[in-house]
Amino acid sequence: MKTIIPCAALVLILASSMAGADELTSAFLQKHCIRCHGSKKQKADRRFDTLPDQIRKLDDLERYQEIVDQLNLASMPPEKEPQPPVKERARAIAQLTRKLTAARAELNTSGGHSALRRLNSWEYRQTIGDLLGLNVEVWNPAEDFPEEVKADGFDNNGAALVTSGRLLDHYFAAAEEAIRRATQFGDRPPSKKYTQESPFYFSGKNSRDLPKLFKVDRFRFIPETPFTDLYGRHYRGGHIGFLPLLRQGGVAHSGIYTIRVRAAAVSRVHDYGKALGDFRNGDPLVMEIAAVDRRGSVESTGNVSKMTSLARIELTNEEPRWFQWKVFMEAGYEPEVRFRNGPLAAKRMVRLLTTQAADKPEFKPFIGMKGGTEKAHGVLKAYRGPRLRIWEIGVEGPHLDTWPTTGHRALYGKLAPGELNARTIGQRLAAFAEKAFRRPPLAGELKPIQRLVAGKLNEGVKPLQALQLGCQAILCSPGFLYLNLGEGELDEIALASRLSYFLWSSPPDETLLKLAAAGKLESGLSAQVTRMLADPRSDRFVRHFVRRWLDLGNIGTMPPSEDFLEYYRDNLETAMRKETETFFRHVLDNNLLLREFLDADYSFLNRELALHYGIEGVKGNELQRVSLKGSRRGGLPGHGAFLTASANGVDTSPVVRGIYVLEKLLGYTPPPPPPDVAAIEPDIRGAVTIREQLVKHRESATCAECHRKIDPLGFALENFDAIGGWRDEYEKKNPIDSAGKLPGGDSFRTFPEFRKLLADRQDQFSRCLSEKLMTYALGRELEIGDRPSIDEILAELDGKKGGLRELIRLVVLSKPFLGN
Amino acid sequence: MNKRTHLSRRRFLQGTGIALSLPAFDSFAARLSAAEKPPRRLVCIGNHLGFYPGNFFPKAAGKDYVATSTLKPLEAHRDQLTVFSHLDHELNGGHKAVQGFLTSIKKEEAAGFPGKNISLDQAAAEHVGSSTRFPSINTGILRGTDMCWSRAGVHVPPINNPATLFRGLFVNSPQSAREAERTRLKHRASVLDALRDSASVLNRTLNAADRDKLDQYLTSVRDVERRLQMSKEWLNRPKPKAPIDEVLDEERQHIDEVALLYDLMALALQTDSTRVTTLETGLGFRTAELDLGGYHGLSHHGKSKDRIGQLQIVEAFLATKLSNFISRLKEAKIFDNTLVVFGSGMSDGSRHSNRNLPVLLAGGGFKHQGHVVCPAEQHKRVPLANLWLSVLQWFGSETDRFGRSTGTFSPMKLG
Repeated sequence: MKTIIPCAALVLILASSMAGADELTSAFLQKHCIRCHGSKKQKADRRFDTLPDQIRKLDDLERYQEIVDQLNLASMPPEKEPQPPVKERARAIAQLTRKLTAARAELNTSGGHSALRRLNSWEYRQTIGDLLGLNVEVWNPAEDFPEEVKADGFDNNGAALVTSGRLLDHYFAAAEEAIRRATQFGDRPPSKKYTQESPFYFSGKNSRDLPKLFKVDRFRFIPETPFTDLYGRHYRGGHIGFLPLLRQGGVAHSGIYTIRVRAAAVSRVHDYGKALGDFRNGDPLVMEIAAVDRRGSVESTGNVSKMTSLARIELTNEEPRWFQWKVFMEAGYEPEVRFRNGPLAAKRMVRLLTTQAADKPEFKPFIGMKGGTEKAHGVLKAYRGPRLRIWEIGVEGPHLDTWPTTGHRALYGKLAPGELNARTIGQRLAAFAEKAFRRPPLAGELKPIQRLVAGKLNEGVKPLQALQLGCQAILCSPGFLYLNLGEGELDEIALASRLSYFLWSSPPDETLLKLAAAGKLESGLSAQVTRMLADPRSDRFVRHFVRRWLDLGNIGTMPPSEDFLEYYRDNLETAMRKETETFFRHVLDNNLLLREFLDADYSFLNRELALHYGIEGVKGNELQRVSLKGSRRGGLPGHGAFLTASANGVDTSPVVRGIYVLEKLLGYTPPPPPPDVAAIEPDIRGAVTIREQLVKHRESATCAECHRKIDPLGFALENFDAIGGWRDEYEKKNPIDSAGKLPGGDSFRTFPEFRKLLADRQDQFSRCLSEKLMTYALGRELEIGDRPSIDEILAELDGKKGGLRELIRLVVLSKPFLGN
Repeated sequence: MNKRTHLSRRRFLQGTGIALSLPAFDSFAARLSAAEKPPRRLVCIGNHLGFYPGNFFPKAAGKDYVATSTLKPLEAHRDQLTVFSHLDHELNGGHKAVQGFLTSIKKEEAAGFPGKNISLDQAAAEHVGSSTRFPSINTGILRGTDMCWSRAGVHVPPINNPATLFRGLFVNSPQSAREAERTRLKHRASVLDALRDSASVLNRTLNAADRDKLDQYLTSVRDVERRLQMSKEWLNRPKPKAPIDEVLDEERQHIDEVALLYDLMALALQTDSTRVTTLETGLGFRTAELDLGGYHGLSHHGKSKDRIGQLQIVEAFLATKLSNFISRLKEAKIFDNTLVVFGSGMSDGSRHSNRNLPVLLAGGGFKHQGHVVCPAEQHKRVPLANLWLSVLQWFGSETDRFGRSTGTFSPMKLG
């Protein structure tokens, strides 16, 4: 609603004759409404002759909105009264809608000023990570923070973000924990080596106090072979733990560890048919290394309270081989090896093998046997199907680059605990505050915290604790939590922060701060943008911008239904998200033209995602560039993430998808439907297709006014189900008709034809993406006053044939970015 | 920065002329001194995916309706409950409007209201203050359904681990832990003072729009201070002895968890650990445990007889758990002072409709009316927020407004 109206035609109307439009609207009201809603009569207490031409107040906005709604529903004028001709009604609706959109934008204007902008959860997380030298991938300091308010899909809008007591409670807890983790007095922890050979399960005395995962039971037995086989993807029979680290409560220190596993994939091709469920016969076996935290965990299910996936790899070797990774493990975590794409849970497997594969000779002795340990062990030992075979697991580390860590030094410098006293503590607080505030503290800003700490020391609180309390206060103070960009032209220090939070979601580094202090940042911006985009921290920008631009959070709130088995078995969500992020990164790194997003004939897929797209021959779990020539896909509209985020996890709606395409690719948000429209009643009994159900959108003139812009875009994507898989027909064999006509008049019959038409609208897309980048960079919504800057950027981009990286550079150099 | 006084659309459009044709509830009859009467309690139960209207709303109005399949499990309590038809908040947004069940306002609109989008339970909890250890206890399955919202417009997440709830209610921290907590509260209070002073220095350098934002920060500081004070009051008071065996921290089926959370809520009320509790079943409720298809998929029934049939089983299950809960409250002799609100911010999941919501009230010592059918016509509708306002007033709050309410509504007289 608050986006700048993109259509060139509309701009002309707006620019040339807003007064003209007002006249037409007044004429319409005069002719068709005032008789019952004017000075003589005020039916239902409504009166329109006193409505102002310009909407300046919310009350008037509501009144005009109601008029539009009633016209849209065709409930006004009442049936018995003379009706305006269809064209005239449609025009009045269009004009009034434009009027309302413009008025809303104006009433909500911030005057081009991004209000004191709180770090959002993502930025807070990365900032704590950088400031205190902590890996925040696994331990997320912002884990339970309340969800951020979004404006236009973005969660860094200063005016919209809310600070509450509840959030402040979280800040206290997070700061305390972060400081605790960063504090590393003591000697550098030495690197240690741990190994365990098969068996990985234990019984009797050896198994006392062990979690279930390590204990022999009906589906876990101690093998007579020097290896242990994993059968399925459930923890029982599909996961193994690592005893040496279990015994000591996980690794003692966070850091990089080398993990090695000697493994093989045996009997990938099987003849058990349907008994092995959804396992694709002959598939590589996916081995996953997970890190788990068993502390404070829930009994049962392997006693895992938290889990993170460290690595996945596809195995095709029948002979044992060593596999090795260097991965980060959080203190207190232990590794587990898992058969990620295993057929079934062992329990179910035993049942199915003795029923559906009962004819196999190896199972004969067990058919008819009463269910129990003997039967289960016997069946599993006799089984000749795909198994992940593990000989040995080794862990070594931590490998630490620096000691003490950067975070520790940020807090304590080089001081030993014994050297902490009132004076040194005061110095440390000043140094830490400057780092945390990303600028020197204002006169008097740090004093209350210094006084607090001095007071605590006097009370007898230990120096280390007093200093930590002061640092906690710094991390909860507005100087840290908010980006203060001031008003008017940004000073260099503020510019450094705006720039680093745009491209790194985290604080400016030494280089930026030095340049800013010397007054040389603004003149050297281009070089800095190049440097920053080449820095690995820019991945944070890619990840977060893509997530917010395409609303990928939808996938978390509306997770695909469990009926989509392959979505979970093949880990498609992770692959899809990575595909789109990798693609964005690729366009950015190579400075490709923006149209690449619309019609690239390649993408980045792994084996499982490629199969989901119907593409064979891709190997391995890592994403790699894959040609899409010959497939129907290409560009964002064919990306799984795009298609899943625009569905609801169960089925698709052309209206929802159409709006998604309009908002995300073409930069236009259609007005909402009038409030009392009867909801459509989905009917899956097969009689009626969705196209037939939406017939009113085409046949009613008032509905069609908006829906002719929305529905065709959604129908074009109807061949993709709720998780982006291609389908030629609906359930009950109804055919899918994806044909449509775009508002300009161009028609298409299939998705590839639609893609081509979309690619022709690359100017509209470029404007949309530029506006979104600008919105994200500024931390506020765009206004009419920003339009000239966007126009300039687009003109320059077009002239130089510039790509995505150039676009970002131009955003940084633009007037709105350099001022507030 | 323009402070918006957003006039509720419906409130505005109703103008001056449209009167409610149903009797309003005399709110002052409810204002009885706490010393004379046992305290009042409120329980709110929500569900994300709605209730299939065909199986929820009875055909006939009044007390002699034939129980539908979803209401059948509640037959034993028929005379102490009222089902309402044609009530809602006139919101739309499908899944995104379910959060409006107890608020009548979506979070995107909250900024324009003085009370933001505070939910019924939180408004009641405010009234209780620190008379009980917990102003409210919010529980749920998985992430719940975004049902409860604070006055600051922040979502209150539900506790979904029964063991955590048990510990909170009945397990006293050891003396040493309480000492440590007392010290920590003391330090926290000092830090809050320092933050306030530090912020005022920053404040002087800001322009008006930025000052508004910093004001939010300062309000947050005050909010934390207030709750700190309440925590300190309760730190030394021992918790009640656990009337049941310790609830272990172990993985449970959802169907068991629902029952357990209901039990714990009953105990919480019985021991006066709180007077406001909520339970919300999230979208991921594992219907596979009832041998049914995925819940979200079932709610998209598309008129399929099979899916509706499966949905019927889920909904009857949820109603059975409610019925058991009411029986517990009766056994504990607190039912007459406890009002149970049951329903959802969604009605028909297949249409993603937020209109004509399923709403059921039980207990509270009212003369219940069976099935109350409110007007269905557009301009005669009763805002659901009016019912919530009456509930809030019954609970003891002296407010005359809640969310989008235009007045009170209670066809059930105090019995």
